[in-house]
Amino acid sequence: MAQNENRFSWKLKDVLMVAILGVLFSFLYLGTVYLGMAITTALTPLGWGQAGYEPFYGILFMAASLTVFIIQKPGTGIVAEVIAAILEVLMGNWFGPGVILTGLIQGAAVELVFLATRYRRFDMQTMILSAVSVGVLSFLYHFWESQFYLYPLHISLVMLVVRTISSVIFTGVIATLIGRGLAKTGILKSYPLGQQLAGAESLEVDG
Amino acid sequence: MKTMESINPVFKMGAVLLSAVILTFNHAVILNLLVFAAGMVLILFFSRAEKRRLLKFLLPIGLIITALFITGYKNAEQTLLASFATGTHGLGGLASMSPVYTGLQLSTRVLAYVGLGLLFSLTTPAEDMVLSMMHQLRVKPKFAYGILAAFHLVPNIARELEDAKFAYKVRGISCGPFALQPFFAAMVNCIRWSENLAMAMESKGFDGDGKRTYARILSVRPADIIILIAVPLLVLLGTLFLKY
Amino acid sequence: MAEPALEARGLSFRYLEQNRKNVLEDVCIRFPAGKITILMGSSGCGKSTLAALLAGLYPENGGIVTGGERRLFGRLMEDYTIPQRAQAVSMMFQNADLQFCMETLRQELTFCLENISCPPEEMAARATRAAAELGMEDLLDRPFTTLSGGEKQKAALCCIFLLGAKAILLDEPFANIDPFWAARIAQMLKALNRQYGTAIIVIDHMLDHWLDAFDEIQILLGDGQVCSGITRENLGDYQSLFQAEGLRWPYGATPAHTPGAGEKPPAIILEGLTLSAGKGRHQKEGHPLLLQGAKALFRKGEMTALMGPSGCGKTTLFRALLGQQAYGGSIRIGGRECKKIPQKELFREIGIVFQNPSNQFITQNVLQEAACGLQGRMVKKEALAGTELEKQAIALLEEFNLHRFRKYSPYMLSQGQQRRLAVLSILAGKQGILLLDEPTYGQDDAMTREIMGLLRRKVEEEGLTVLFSTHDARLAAEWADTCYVFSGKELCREDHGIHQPGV
Ligand SMILES: Nc1ncnc2c1ncn2[C@@H]1O[C@H](COP(=O)(O)OP(=O)(O)OP(=O)(O)O)[C@@H](O)[C@H]1O
Ligand SMILES: Nc1ncnc2c1ncn2[C@@H]1O[C@H](COP(=O)(O)OP(=O)(O)OP(=O)(O)O)[C@@H](O)[C@H]1O
Ligand SMILES: [Mg+2]
Ligand SMILES: [Mg+2]
Repeated sequence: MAQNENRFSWKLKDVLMVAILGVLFSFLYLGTVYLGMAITTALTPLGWGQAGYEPFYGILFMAASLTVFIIQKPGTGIVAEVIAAILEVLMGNWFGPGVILTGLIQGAAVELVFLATRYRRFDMQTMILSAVSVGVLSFLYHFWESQFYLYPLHISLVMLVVRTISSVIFTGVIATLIGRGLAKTGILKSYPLGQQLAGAESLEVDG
Repeated sequence: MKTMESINPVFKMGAVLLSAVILTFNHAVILNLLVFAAGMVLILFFSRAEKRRLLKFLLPIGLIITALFITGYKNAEQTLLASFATGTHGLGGLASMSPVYTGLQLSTRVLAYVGLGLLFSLTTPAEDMVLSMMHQLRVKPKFAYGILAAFHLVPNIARELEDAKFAYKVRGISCGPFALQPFFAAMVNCIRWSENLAMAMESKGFDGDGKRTYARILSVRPADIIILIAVPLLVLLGTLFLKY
Repeated sequence: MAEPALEARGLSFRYLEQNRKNVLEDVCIRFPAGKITILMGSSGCGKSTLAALLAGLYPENGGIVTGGERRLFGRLMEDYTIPQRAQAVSMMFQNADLQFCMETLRQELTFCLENISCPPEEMAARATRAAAELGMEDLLDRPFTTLSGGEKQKAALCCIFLLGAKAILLDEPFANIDPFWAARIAQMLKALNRQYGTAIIVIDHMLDHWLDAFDEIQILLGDGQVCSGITRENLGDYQSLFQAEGLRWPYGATPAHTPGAGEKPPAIILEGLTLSAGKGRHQKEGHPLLLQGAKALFRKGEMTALMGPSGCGKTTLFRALLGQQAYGGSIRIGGRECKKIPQKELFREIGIVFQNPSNQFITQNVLQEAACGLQGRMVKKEALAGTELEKQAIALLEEFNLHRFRKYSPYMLSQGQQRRLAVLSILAGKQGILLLDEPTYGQDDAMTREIMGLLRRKVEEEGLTVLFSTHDARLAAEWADTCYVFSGKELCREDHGIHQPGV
């Protein structure tokens, strides 16, 4: 039964869910990168070009958080995020293979919070915490990787704040809502989230 | 070597990824262009890839690199953007270059990535990739076939979305082009498929870890090893010795 | 007698912990080895659930067993590894859309052969042979997404035959398959059973194809009771039970429907219609023609049945009527050329029930789905409580025996229930022309009558035009005013399509 299932062994259904979410989100990610590109170009004359991606950054962590929210097993979020990143690179993300490493870091940052709860607590609060974690940590990584420190500090600070807010909205709140919505449809019945939520109220109606 | 398809996929991917990693340290426009050109030549003349598909990928990318060129051109003095968009260190010297050159650097790097990416994805059937992952990398069938099944979903995603939108339209329920409900409905159908798939595969006797025979076994030939070493090496040499 | 092939002892199961009732309660059932057993039961009584449990797929992939045990050839289900289990039993699912993991039939068959460790050099020949037996050799390399409903089911059957398990579970295998092939496949299964002693368990609402093949019928009653021991000899004693459970009695002529007197005005006229295979609003080169110069006339205030072998183009014709498919010649709807009618207007005029109901749902709640159908626009779930609309929707659900599930999501319904919900939400709409792609498959007799009766009522009272496709000649004879059969790329009118042509 769901409760005493081994949390470290992946079943076929887990692999399939991870892979399929990775695939679905790779499309969304690529779309996001295009959108960010457009906004960057628009903001550039104002000197804020590099901030163009920030409002949507949260979207880029959603595969990790949604997957781990559904399957609730260690590593699922990381793998989903990396699969999404690899596909993105193969479909033509102009940031190149570096994106795969970024994906790995983002996935890990999302799972950090769940690791702290030993993969026991999956609710809106932990989801939002993990969103903050990934927002901040991924920014620190970019701060180093893309040399943000060469530029005025206030720009970086604004970027950090915008990214974290975006992450809370998309990776935290929206991913949780999507997960719950999916669970309510009953299609997640073989995953922990589906068992946890779909029957929260009794479904049968007498008469 | 007859065609690109005959290279062992894992080795091909290794060569492509290594080359791409090396390219992140490259500043030379010429090398970028060379890599792209080599990719195109190999796809066009040494593979069975459909030329129409190549075109379909190249058209939007043409737009993107034009945009990138303009971005780079306009913001040559803004190194931050440049290094951000290329995702690398050490481009500090960029600002001193001419705007045209900065634009070219940005856009041709993308071309090089695209050339490598397409070279791999257009000449490697998903089935071969998965077989090679099992045979050369010893990936468990559970993971290999899980990923393969997900790949098979790709062409269906657009169709599912179309079907979902059609379901709304046909019921006379209007939803704008950006309405989220059809997206959710399509997602539900995709995930439902994945959930049932595990059952379908198991009832067909699929055992994720165990023994199975293979209709085809992809082997490694000396040429594959040479390619894995030689291609990244060439790119590395280019990076070291090409200045512009 | 020896160990039964499949057995459940006191088995209880529920899908979700918080469900109020178990779906299966203390079920004891045994399917003997070496026999052909038909499992019947009203729609939604838990047949598919039981089958998935006995195939070892649940609770691993969903749901909770709250009691009892399952045995496969005498051994506990839990003692089997997956490959061992697959050698003992394989199952064909009710929904043909959800059971392929590869892109084409050839790949899928090869996948099956690899799973059972077939020597590589034999694979190609065995795969081709398996496909040829079911007349699928031309479809071996076509993506599954382009196959028709019946072709997908035949593809699934190919896999089952190829796997050669000791017990085979088939969940409504013929729901979308034409009678010619259904009879033929039933014969093949019988031969398999006689030759190798394969235990065959079939869930089916129609006994027609099994009458000279089955050894036993078992009926799953609502409350976990099982009625077993029905054989060909004593079948006659059970007519009243069949009636009480709403199951279709295989004997006796159905009263043929007599069309009302007087010519009704035409609603849809097809003239010189040419249709080619393949989805799309643009004619594609090289695709085979399904219809060529076809003529037909569908009248207002009548029900017309469309029949023909699997893959003949029924679904494609429906798509054309909805303006989703390129065609040559002319389709006139209410006097206007279909191509020229703007989409919005067309959809106000025509409603459709798709062959696969899950493509149809636009909400995540049964009640809301019905309410949206009634209202013809999106209705919020919260806004429904206590309104007149809610009452109407519940009344409608009650007619189709779905009211108990009004808090469910449509995806939690059984296949038959999903189909009914899809039909119901279209019936509730205000369109004057309804297209129904196999409206009654997966339904027991009682529900079939309910659906068709409601349609008939609407046709007579509101002058609707109804066009439905079906493989069930008896259904067509009983309910349709007119019947068209696809034959030789044309539509032939048959007054009462009792004789469905072969291939
Ligand atoms: N892209 C394609 N290329 C060639 N043939 C195709 C393509 N797409 C569909 N077809 C064929 O068109 C035929 C018509 O399909 P359709 O779904 O209309 O059949 P149908 O009459 O509804 O059958 P069923 O009763 O099995 O549902 C099928 O034989 C199908 O294989
Ligand atoms: N995923 C699910 N979650 C909750 N309840 C479900 C789920 N799937 C099925 N059910 C319920 O379990 C009951 C039995 O379903 P099942 O699919 O076994 O019926 P069935 O006898 O096969 O019916 P049909 O003849 O219509 O296919 C139904 O009442 C259905 O509402
Ligand atoms: Mg069923
Ligand atoms: Mg059809």
